[in-house]
Amino acid sequence: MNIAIASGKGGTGKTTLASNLASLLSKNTKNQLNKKIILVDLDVEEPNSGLFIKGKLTTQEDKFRAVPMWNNKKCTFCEQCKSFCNFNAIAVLPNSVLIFPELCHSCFACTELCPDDALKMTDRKIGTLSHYKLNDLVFIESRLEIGEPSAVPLIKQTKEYVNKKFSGNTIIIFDSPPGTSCPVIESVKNMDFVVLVTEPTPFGLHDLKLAIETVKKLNRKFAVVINKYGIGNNDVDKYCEKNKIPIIGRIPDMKKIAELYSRGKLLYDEIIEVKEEIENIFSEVTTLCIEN
Amino acid sequence: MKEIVIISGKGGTGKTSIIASFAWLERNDVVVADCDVDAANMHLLLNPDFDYPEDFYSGQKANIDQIACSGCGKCIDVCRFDAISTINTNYNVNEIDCEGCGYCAIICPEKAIKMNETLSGKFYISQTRLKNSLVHARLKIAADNSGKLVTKVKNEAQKLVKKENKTYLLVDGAPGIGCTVIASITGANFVVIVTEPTIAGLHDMKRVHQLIQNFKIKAGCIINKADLNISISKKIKDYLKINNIKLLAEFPYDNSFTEAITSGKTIIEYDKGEISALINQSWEKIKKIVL
Amino acid sequence: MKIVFSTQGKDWDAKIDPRFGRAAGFLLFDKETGSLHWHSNEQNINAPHGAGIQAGQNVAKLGADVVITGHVGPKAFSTLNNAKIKIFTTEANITIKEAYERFKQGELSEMKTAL
Repeated sequence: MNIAIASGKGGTGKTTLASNLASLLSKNTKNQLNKKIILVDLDVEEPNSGLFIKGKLTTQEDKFRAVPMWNNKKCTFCEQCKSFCNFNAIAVLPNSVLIFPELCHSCFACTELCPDDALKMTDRKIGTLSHYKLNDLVFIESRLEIGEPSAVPLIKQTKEYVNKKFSGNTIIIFDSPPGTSCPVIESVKNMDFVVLVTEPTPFGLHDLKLAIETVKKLNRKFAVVINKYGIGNNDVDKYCEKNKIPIIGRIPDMKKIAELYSRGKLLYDEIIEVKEEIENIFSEVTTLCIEN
Repeated sequence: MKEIVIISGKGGTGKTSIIASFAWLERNDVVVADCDVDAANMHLLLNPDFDYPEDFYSGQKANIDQIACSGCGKCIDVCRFDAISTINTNYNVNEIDCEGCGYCAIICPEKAIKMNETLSGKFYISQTRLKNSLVHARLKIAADNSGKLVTKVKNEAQKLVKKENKTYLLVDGAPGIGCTVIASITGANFVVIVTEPTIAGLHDMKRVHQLIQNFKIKAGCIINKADLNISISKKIKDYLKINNIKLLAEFPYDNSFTEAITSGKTIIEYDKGEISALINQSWEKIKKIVL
Repeated sequence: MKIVFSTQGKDWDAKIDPRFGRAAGFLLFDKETGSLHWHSNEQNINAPHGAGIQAGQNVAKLGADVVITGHVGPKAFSTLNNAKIKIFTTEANITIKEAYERFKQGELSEMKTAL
């Protein structure tokens, strides 16, 4: 089962929920579940789950994407490569051809269509994938290279790694990036279930509506968790009720939670209320997943 | 024109609330640009009139003419994004996966594939309830190229500053470190990082600072909810000192942030106490640095 | 030596255009022949993206050895740099004539890195 933890607004508590949920599930595996628990941090621009899950590093891999490299010996300066590129990533000058890797989308058109075979794809590092183990929890984190403009290829490759490495009886929790644009789409698009974490404020509600539109467009099963419950107002409750959107959890606004979070500590061992709420959230997810 | 871009790395640090307060303080001499186009929130505090909407097109999507298509399958062979599939004998482009590279259109022997400009969203030039201008945008769901829309918002805002003869351009920047943030900070005179004293806040601030360093822009920092964790506040301050980032202010945790948003007001309008005074002081500090 | 100025007008009395990629036009001065020719940059003014790269390519095609402008972004810089064109920056509110004088006197600074 693949569960994404997403949100519209940033800072609502995705990582808090994802890391606590995955850790708690992994502790329960011996007792109840018979599944392998994996936490994957897909918020590759600012991966934070690793601050709360401190496992032992088992492997680390550099991740790459292909960008063209120019071979000056074969080039006849026909300029066709420039016309093939839809992203302005190729500049043709009187004596040289210049590639802008940060604009390249790795479509391979220029290298495969060049009549003189003067362009070849070469690897450009986009980030690092780290595989950790903490007792019964597997934790995969990917970290985007600073300056690399797009998170999407790294998110895609991380999901491919997870897919290849783990099969069968798994529960995989994916900590997703915030927002509704391409990194989120890439993260969430084939998930079995999406949990949308929001806060009960006007900003939270506004962005939740966008996030709901997004998961609906992707045809995903989803439900809402309200974090920092107690601040703001109850417009999120009202909105979800009116639109028949299930709210599967309400995590209270507590100074103790903020304080533990600030120190990079998980919550469920220290706050029984939170432990129960998280277990409830998971059980609601499994119920809703089975439902049609 | 002085362009001040405010970013956070991590979401939820209070960036938008702080910018709205700065906008209120300087309302007669400022244009605001909301570059957080993915989840734009500034308009919830400034009540813009959405007076001048303009469609924004960026990127392309492939479209296959079923009548002209001969079913040769070459398009599927070349597509690196698995965006083309067949249902019965129909070849279809999945718009969400299509990257808009146009390779399929080039290769199609029947010329059956056209690349269409994508409507990515709308941008607006509005008058706010503070009687100043706000340039903002709404990105369509699942749209890409949000870096381009950010650039468009900035460019329009810069033009407006010149036209209205204002001094300041206040930019609400995007979260993270990717293309939208890069587009947000390009051309800034000064970048303000709003952070919080949590392990995550410190971690994200360091990453976004690395990005700013690559652009060689002067930076300052506001620590919000500073009393939440004194020891991490200190770690942040040590990092700022070593890296020559100006500490602009430390705001204690204050309910006004949430209460003001919930009332649809900026903090300065809502609270007449300590936090407003601190926000005021930090804005004066920023002005002194850029002028 | 061929010098290209980003310009708001079409002759020696025109003002320098501070932008490069979206400059109104370019004036090409050929030192050997003494000729001054204006080239429009209209196609790039409204280009949403890649204006600097395109302008850089166009200017390289004109055979420029030096570009004198207000400011050049990192991608335009890479393009000109790759074509071995030297970049000198100047303030905006002076004429092409004045800019050239200052260049001859060695008063303009050369842009050696992208930032």
